[in-house]
Amino acid sequence: MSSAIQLESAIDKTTKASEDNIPSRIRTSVVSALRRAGSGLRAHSGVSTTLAGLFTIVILVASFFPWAVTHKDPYATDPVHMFQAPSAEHWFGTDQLGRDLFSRTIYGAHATVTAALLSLAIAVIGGLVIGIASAYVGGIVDTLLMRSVDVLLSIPGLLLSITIVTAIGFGTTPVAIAIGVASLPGFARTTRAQTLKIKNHAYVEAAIVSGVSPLRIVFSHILRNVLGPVSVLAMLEFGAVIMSVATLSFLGFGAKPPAAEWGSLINDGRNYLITSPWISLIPGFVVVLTVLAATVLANNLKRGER
Amino acid sequence: MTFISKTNDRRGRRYGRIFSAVASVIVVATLSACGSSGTADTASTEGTPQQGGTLRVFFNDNGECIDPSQAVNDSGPRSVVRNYVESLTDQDPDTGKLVPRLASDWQVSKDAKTYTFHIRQGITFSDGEKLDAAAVVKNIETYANTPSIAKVLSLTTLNKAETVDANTVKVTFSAPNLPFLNTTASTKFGIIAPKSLDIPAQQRCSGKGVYGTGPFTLEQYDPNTKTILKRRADYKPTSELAKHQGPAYLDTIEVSYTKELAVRVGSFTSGQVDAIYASTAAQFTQNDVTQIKAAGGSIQSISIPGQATNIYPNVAADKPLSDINVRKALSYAIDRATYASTVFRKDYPVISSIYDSTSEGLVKTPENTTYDPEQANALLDKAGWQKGQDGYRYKDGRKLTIVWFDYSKKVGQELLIDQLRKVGIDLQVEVNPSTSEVLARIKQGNYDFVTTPYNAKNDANVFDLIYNTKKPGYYSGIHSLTPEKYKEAQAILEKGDEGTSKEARLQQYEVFQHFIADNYAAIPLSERTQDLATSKQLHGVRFGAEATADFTDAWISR
Repeated sequence: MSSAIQLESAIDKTTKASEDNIPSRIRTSVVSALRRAGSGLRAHSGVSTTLAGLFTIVILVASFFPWAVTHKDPYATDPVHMFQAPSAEHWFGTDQLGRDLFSRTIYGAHATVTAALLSLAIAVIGGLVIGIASAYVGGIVDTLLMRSVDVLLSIPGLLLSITIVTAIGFGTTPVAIAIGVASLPGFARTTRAQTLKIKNHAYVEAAIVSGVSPLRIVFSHILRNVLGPVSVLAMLEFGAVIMSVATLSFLGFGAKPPAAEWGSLINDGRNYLITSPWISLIPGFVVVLTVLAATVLANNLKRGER
Repeated sequence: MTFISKTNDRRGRRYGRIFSAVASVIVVATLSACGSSGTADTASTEGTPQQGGTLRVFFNDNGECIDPSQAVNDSGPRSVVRNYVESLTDQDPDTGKLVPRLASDWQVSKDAKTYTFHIRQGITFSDGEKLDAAAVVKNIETYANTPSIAKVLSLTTLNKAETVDANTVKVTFSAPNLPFLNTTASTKFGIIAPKSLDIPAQQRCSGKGVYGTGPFTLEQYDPNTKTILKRRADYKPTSELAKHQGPAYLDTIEVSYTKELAVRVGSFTSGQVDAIYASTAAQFTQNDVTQIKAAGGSIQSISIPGQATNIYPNVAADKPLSDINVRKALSYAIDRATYASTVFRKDYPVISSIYDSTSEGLVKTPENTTYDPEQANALLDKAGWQKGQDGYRYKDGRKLTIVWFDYSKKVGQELLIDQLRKVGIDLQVEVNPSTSEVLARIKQGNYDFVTTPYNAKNDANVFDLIYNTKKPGYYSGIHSLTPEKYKEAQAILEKGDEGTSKEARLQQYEVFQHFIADNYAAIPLSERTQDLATSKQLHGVRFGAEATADFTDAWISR
């Protein structure tokens, strides 16, 4: 906290030094305002967590029951009312075919969030299996599994996902699988480290000595203790995975038109940024807020974990 | 590794673009607040032409080939060709009338088999060679000896091309061949220097050593960076369609290429370039027009003579579109006026035939372009497709799903999906950008309808490409008719090609159009235009017969 205050006063000094340099003044004042807001939120982390939690709940409800949140058809075109700015009738405005952007964003949440959850499930389950197997069995199995995970780690995640999607075909599910596979190595590594730590605890050794079957040890002793850190990691990854799903869909690997996904909604509006900026910007803000909310929640979880 | 850097680079550019776009939102907002939308459409003919200057143009397509007879892709490359190479004749895009160009005069024999051209005297190619009868004969013979080119230029039935005297050429065919006369106006029939013809066809694509008689010379051609055309001071004017008789006004034309329309529009509005071309597969939308007009520019647009964007159904027995009632219903379910104003822009022409509106001999078939959803519903009921709970139609437990196979994602697809949904047709769009895979899949007939190909040609026989051909490149025509009907269509077109007078030929194409319309073998979807945006400094750009841009009269005001 004290360093933040020092910085702020330093910024105040530079602001005074360059009175006539208006852009830099605006920039520094924006920066200090953001910093103040940030430290304020940190001081009242309860508020930010509550907000993030509420927003996450809204997004989850929207993604599982889109028809309950909006009654408008996300696919119904209405060329007479195209390019309408946000209004009471159309909260998020309308797009190039006059479709209601609010309902498209809600249905986009359905596609994007379920895809993100699916890929997280793949990454977590795959990571747990690989991590525990390599740490518990050890030896040649450990070497083989970890070296193949290293290979996966050495390829940039996005590139790996794009390669997988190109191989197995376009669509929401292939995108989810691709991202799941690409984010699997992180989980495998965490699980392995955690398992190695727990494996040497006295109670595990006691269980081995008293003849408990290895599977039972894995399920009732190791898995239970590994799940904590892994679930925090999963929560942290959730934001990144949503970002990746949106990226791939932005690049055109996602669902076929006219299906709405957050990434494809942003991409659709790309050509209209100058005349109708809301088409891209509003879905973009929703993605940013969702990722932010997930990260705030995960950070809190991490603090609790410690 | 190259792949990584390429992806990053592309993404980087995209983000940069988004950033600059956001920044210019403010600029445009300020501009439109001042109410400076402008009515610049008349600007192109005003004022006294000024000499000199460099014209910077952005095209959508580099075409990978700049040799006249091989540059068959539309817009970009052919517009470059038009400015450095000329043809025997020129064609008025408004009336379709042929006027002299390199040939000052020509005669056609009664049986339409012999054509005599009188070549203008005193014209030289830019490498110094003289244009004479021998040079023209060499052009015709070289083109006729390359099968792929001969087909495009209607030279397959060539008997011989010979010089009668130093400036007269006689061309004889084994069958009546009036389409040949129209192709002499095409950029594809550009007359190049005899020495250039000694270069193998493949190598001519680079433009190196290819010399024409045009108002500009090809200085540099690089598909990846830019093409530079330089003014030819000793140019002898040839076409009477040109607004002025003399060398060009511009010193230099710099052509660059970008596939992305938003980038071209952005470069135009920021004043980086003086003119931009729209792709013939993605015309300027209302959104682009707003930005172009806000920057003081104006739009020139012309319907491209030839095939319009039509729906070619697959009528194989197991496909839903094998039933003519379903094809009719499909046609009735399409609201073409809304399609034109939504997908393109407000003043965009509405399709009325399987040909674009500037084509010679088109017959309007209102029955095939009417929007009548009630009629569509009645026809589908009659055909046995009943509406189910979800609003889609079913027959014997099978959903009425129609697959539109295309090579790129377009706004029009989403609109059509919704229009057809209203009558209970489930339209699925499948996209594959690979040309070879598209061709292979169309050949297999693994689709319900396609909208390719669309081809520009200044002759009514453009449908030869898919309905009358021994070795087709596109199978969309073959799949759109049953084998017996396909033979009938072939016979009609053959008779049209062999007609010995224009009237007789056009009559035959009328029969053809009614045949296609009655069978719903091609369902008109949208008109195809060539759009060009010009800044308020640029004047005098002329559209040629096949919607290529001619910069002979163009000048830049300062």
